[in-house]
Amino acid sequence: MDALLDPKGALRTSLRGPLAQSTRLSLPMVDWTLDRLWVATRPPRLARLFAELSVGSAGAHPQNEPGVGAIVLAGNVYAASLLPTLAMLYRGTPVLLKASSREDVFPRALASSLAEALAAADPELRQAVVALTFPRDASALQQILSRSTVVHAYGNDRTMHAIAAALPEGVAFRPHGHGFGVCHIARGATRTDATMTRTALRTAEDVAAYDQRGCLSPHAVLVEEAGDGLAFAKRLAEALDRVAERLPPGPASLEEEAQCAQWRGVAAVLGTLFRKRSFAVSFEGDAALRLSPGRRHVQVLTAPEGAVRWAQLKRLGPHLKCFASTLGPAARGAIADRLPPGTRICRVGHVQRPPLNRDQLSR
Amino acid sequence: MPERDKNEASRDALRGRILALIEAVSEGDEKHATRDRLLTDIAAYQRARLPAFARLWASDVGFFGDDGLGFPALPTEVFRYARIATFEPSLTARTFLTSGTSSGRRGQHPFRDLSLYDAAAQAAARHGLFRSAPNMRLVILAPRPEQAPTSSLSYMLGRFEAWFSSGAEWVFDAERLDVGSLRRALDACCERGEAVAVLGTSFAFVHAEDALGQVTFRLPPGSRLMQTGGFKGRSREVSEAALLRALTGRYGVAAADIVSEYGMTELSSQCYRAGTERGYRPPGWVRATVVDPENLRPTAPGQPGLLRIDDAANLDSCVGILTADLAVLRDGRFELLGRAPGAVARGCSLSVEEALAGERADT
Repeated sequence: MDALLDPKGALRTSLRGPLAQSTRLSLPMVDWTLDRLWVATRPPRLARLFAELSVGSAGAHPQNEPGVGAIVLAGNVYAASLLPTLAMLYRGTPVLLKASSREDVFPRALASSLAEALAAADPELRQAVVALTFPRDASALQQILSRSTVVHAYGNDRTMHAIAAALPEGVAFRPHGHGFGVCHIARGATRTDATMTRTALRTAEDVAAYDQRGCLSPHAVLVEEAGDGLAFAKRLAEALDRVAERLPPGPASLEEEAQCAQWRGVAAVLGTLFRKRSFAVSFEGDAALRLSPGRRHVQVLTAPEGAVRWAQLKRLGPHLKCFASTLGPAARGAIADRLPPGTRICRVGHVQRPPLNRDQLSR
Repeated sequence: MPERDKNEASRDALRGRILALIEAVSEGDEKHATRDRLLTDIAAYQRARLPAFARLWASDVGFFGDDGLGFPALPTEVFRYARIATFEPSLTARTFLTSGTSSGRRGQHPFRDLSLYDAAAQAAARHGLFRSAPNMRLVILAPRPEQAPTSSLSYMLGRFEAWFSSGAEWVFDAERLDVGSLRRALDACCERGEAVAVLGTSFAFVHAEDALGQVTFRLPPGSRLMQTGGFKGRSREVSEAALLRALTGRYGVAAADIVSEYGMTELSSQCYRAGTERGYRPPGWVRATVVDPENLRPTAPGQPGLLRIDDAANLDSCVGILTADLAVLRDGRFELLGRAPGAVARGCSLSVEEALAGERADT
């Protein structure tokens, strides 16, 4: 991982431009995300991950897992392949990365870098990880799936269903369907001007990361103190403006701009809209949650204490991927069973810093 | 004069002007200045009576600024979230719903009366579809109006039966094509040498393609096809060129006699394009503009953007409509480039939107 992610390394330097082009993230955002991957894959954290993976469900050390592992990638968050690739290789399972035709720069670089590292230990291991790209081809994908013993797949629900239907019996399937995140701003986080500003900045970073494309990315912010909703929305807009100065959004396609125009129109009708070219924040009070088109477009809703839309959030099921809250660790732990099972719960500001652990393999 | 009577007088006056314009331009006379004045007057009337439109107009983010068009356009997404009508719900004569094939909650377009819709639809179809043949046999690949009472398409086709046909066969039962009825109806026309207009959605024609196998028809001279709509939310898509080729071969009509219709639930008027023409020509009471989705200002001719339709016949809803369609304007015609997917974006799944729609039903 050092060879690939070291900020001073030639490989990472050579990766930046092509990655910005393939992901359509800005160069500063590419650097920011690579920095986070670098921090997340430092040796102590990798060692903790491998220690977790060493322990099977029965508490015994697992044997090498036979067969081939396949990872079918979508193009929206380029680093998605990292954790399952490391996990499978650690377990002795060769990995085939089927990259999205929209973004194959990182998967190829990851595969190449890992292959080199493995080959240094044993030349035969060079083939233990391979990346492939091909346009939509059901028969080619079927060939990959039919030879796999474990498959991780990323994409929308239709893709997940199609892959599940195509898998032979006995193949372990780990779908990572699309979804979104929600930020929860508890009462104390808006108590003073300073705390509100600080909270807004952390929220803005969560929203802006990966240009809000990830399945963890917040689409809505729930503000517990109803009277602070509008003020927080305005503060969030200011924070997104500041974040955009150092992490500008990447170029938008016409389709993306069109989706955003529709969203903003609804926002202008239903709520109070704050926007600049790089973001849009809509304060909509107690209106229903609605999906964002991304591009740092986010709803701010009120969610009074005791009625934080728990039932509604629970109904979102596996689509609610992340619930970020300003509550402390104990309070966050206490709300876990009020959210859909498997929802990642974290602090505001940490949405795009998922821990490198076994739990993330099944999210 | 009581306010209510003043309101009715204003409405009646505008209604009269709209009908007069429809009559004047339906034979091809272009009266753009008259049209534009009327559109502006309708917008002013609606601004005072349609809260959603007033809010959009008042939106102070510099987003709907002066762009020479005189008034903002309501994004079609808004129809899913707000009642778009200048009249009390008790006066609703009919409500059309957007199709349920895309995602979640359906948009609603209430009508106080359908006289303007009828006038616009009849005038546009006489010029753009039926031309010199005022009475033809119709074969309709769509549900009957009584089977689909919320479908504006079924309603329109039902009116075509009343205005333009010497008899009609409806060969769609609920959601299923009755292939036997289709074959019998077309065979009968061929035997009689009777020109026939086959009307339906693009998806229904594709469905017919799959069902008819090797069967082909040589429809009599004067026959024509009308197809409308795309494949939004459907599991299968066929390119326009491929469908045109298939239809000319299947039905034995020239490409020039395969007419595409552009309409939507949020509009009262339709636009037509013959198979050999590049773009849709809006009827004389409709203004089509392509706008930059970022600032909603008209783009330069030939530059792609979002299609905005100002429809004078939308007297009781909203005259300015920002569609979700990407288009380019050339020589007064708009060419579609495909539809921006709306809030279901970035591969996010239908089921996420459905989960949110379930949430909205409770709020």
